Amino acid sequence: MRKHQLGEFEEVVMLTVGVLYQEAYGVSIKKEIEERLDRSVSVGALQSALKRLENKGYLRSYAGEVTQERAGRPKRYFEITAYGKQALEYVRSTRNALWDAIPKVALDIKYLR
Amino acid sequence: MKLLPPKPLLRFFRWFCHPDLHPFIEGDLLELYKERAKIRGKREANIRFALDVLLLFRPGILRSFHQHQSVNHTAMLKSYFTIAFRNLAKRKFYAGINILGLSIGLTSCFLIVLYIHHELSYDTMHTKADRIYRVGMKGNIADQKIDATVTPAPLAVTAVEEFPEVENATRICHFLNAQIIRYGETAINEDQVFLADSTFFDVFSFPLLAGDPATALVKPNTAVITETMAQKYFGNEPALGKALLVGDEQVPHEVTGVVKDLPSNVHFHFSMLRSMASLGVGLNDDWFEHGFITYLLLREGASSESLEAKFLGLVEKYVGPEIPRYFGVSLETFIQQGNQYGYFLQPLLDIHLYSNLDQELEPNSDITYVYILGLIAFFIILLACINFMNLATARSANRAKEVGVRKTLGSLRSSLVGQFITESVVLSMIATGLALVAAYLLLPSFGNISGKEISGELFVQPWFLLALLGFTLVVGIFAGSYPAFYLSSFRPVEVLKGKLTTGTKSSGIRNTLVVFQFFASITLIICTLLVYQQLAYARAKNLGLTKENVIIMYGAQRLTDSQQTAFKQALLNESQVVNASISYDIPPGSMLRTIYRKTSAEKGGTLHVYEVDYDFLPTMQIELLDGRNFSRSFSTDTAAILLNEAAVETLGSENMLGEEIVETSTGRTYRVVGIVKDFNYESLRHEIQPLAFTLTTQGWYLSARIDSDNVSATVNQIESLWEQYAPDQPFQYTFMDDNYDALFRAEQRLGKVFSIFTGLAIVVACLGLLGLATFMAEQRTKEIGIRKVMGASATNIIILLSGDFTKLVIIAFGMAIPVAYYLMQWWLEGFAYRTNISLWVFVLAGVGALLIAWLTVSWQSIKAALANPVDSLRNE
Repeated sequence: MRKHQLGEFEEVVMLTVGVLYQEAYGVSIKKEIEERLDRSVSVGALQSALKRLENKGYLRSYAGEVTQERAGRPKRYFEITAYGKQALEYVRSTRNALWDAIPKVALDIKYLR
Repeated sequence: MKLLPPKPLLRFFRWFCHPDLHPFIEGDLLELYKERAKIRGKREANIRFALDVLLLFRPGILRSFHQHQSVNHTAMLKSYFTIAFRNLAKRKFYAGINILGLSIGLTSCFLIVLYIHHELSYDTMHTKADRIYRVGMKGNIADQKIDATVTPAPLAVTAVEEFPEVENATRICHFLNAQIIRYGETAINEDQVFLADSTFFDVFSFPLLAGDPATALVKPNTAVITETMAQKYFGNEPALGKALLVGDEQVPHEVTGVVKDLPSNVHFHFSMLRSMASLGVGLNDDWFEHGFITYLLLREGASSESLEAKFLGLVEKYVGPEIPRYFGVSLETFIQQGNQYGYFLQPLLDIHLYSNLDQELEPNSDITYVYILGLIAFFIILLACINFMNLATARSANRAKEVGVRKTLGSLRSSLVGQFITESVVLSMIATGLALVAAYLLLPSFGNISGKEISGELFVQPWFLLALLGFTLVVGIFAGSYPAFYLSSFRPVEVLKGKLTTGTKSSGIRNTLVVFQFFASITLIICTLLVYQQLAYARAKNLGLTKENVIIMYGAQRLTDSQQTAFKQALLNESQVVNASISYDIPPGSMLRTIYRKTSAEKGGTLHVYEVDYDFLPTMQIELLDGRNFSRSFSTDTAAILLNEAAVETLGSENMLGEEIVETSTGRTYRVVGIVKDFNYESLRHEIQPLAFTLTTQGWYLSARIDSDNVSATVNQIESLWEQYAPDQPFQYTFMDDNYDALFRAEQRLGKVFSIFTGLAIVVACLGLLGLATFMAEQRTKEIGIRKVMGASATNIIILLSGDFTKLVIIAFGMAIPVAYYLMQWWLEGFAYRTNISLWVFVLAGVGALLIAWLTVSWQSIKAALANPVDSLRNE
């Protein structure tokens, strides 16, 4: 049984939430990802990922302030939970372990091409 | 500048988005939208927005539509029904009134719908019905308009030969006098005997039970009879191949076909069709002798208008050459003199409701009556719905607390609306069920009254049942809508504080509805009274002859001349018989029309002709104005003629007495010896037409004026005389006043149908009034108690309570007067002789309505007035 299940996009979203720290809400997350990773993110994809992550308990959200440009709609800020942090660390460590296990040769072949 | 994304998209998003997420995501979307609009313009932003919204339409974001609602719905609906039934059971009186009113309304509506359906279904049984047309003849000859069903014999064949549009044609010819048909011992006078072309069954689709439709009417002396007639003559033996003896000559006709009994919804009924070849008349090539009814079957897609246009050439080619023979002038001069002659087409399907020509085979109905009945049905349903709304709003005060509590406990307005609508739908379902049963049971008697065999077949048609269900729902929702929306708009705080009284607003609406109900009822009462008044007027009108106590015997032509004379003499010898006459014609009705002109004049006119004997005028008691009756002392009277006043006017001379007139077709001349007073020999719908009498000593009819007392004994005596002088001939007789009454059958039926539905409308309106009065008395219990304590008498209270309704009825009456007046004036315009619209009808209707209203209310108001004030004031 796998301990933590985190898709690639989910991982990106979680990390971005971490990067933005207390400023992480829908639009800012979307922009951050688009800027840093140079890929376009649809609101739908982002929101459903956020919802999934929240359901898994990796993220938690709270309603934020009401602003003019949002026509009175509140922002929803996200932050990483302790469990979420554990998950991120787990993913990272498994990756690292995998990296470490790759024999030099396997990597070198690539350079020969 | 306000930057907002397209509204519909936003609404769509709000609709599908999960409610927990939606404000946040919407915020995000708006923020993005504004930013994009600023940087890349509104168009681009719109597209991006649409894309985002579409991409948001995915499982994680969508709200769940299913689970939630279905659970909620069943429970809620269940509760609606429970509450509805509890409420009905609790308020049995109101529920009863409501259901009764609605079911009476619906029953009337069903019956009328069936009736209208029947009226509209005439002649639809023929598979080619939409392509069948009847040819009519129209003309204006010597200032007399003629629109008739009869056409000349060669028309049918010529139409098939000359016009490519015509696929087939058939003619029928009706014998004006009945025929005796014999088989073995059976001899019955049949009056539905027609001559028909061999193509009859190619055009019409009457199904044959036996025989081949293609060959049945080809050979001479063959006949097709109906199932009933076959049963009558042959019992259970097969009819095919047997010979029936037709007419006085007893010509054997072989039965070559048995047709299924005709339904009531065809425009003519036959019991026997003789093949056209049996008699020579079918070969008649005279284009100016009209006696055949011609039906044309048009080719698929052929236009009747273009065919009608071609009739003009037909008239020129064939009728033209005949004109000089009849009128002494060429067709051109004939037309220049202002005459017209031509043919037109009538769609078969329109005959029953739209055609009213001379010599219709059976009296047709009128589309106006269909509309009037439809309107009445609509009004009755409306009245019943109004009742429902009235009672429900009246009760609203009682249920206001319930609404308040429900709202406080979190009931949505929509579910309150749902609840009230459910209640009214349950009521209307029950009412519909009752109405269906009632309509089914009443159908036969309704059929009797309206004179139609209406089948309840419609009741089992799936589309009808579906429509019925829809209709029930609509009535329920419509009737329940006002209370539903009105009650659910109550504000709980006020209601629970007890602020809500029977608001003036709602009582205003209630009053308007009551006024409307009484307006409709009073209008109907006035119309019914006037229809009856017109009927009574028509019956009592001085016809110009005495129609009572005249017995008319049919079939005199089957007696030899000497038998006729002897029988007539024997009749006159009877002490009970005042006078007797033999004639070819008998009022009401007229069969022969010919053109006469003064010998000295160019132009003549069409006169109806009665061929009668010396005693006709005294027997009928027709008044002679000038000159003398036919007389045995003048041997020249075989060439004498009597004219009525209208005929004198038509032939265009001040003093016609002694003038010589000529029958244009035969050239025979007559001397005018007498002028008779105009008498009605047709329906009172028409003005009296010009009429001439010529002398004969034989005829088809024997008529006798008898003493008014002991009529049945006299009839028996006459019958035994008949058997003596005319053995083997069936004795058939009617009374002349019955024949006159038959002219008004359509109006009589209308009168009956009118009065029934008027009665029902009044019952429905009164039920509503009863409910309202009960409610009002209940509402004002305390007020009445206080008034009584302060010294008001029971009379005062009754006047107080009835006064409100009196005002409403009087207002309704005021509104009904002009409407009814104009309606009835329009109806009466269809009669040449009509009654005056008199004041008493209106007074009677108004007073009647008021009395009914008072009676309805009185029970409640007396009860309230007599109640002990202690009971009503005891608890506060």
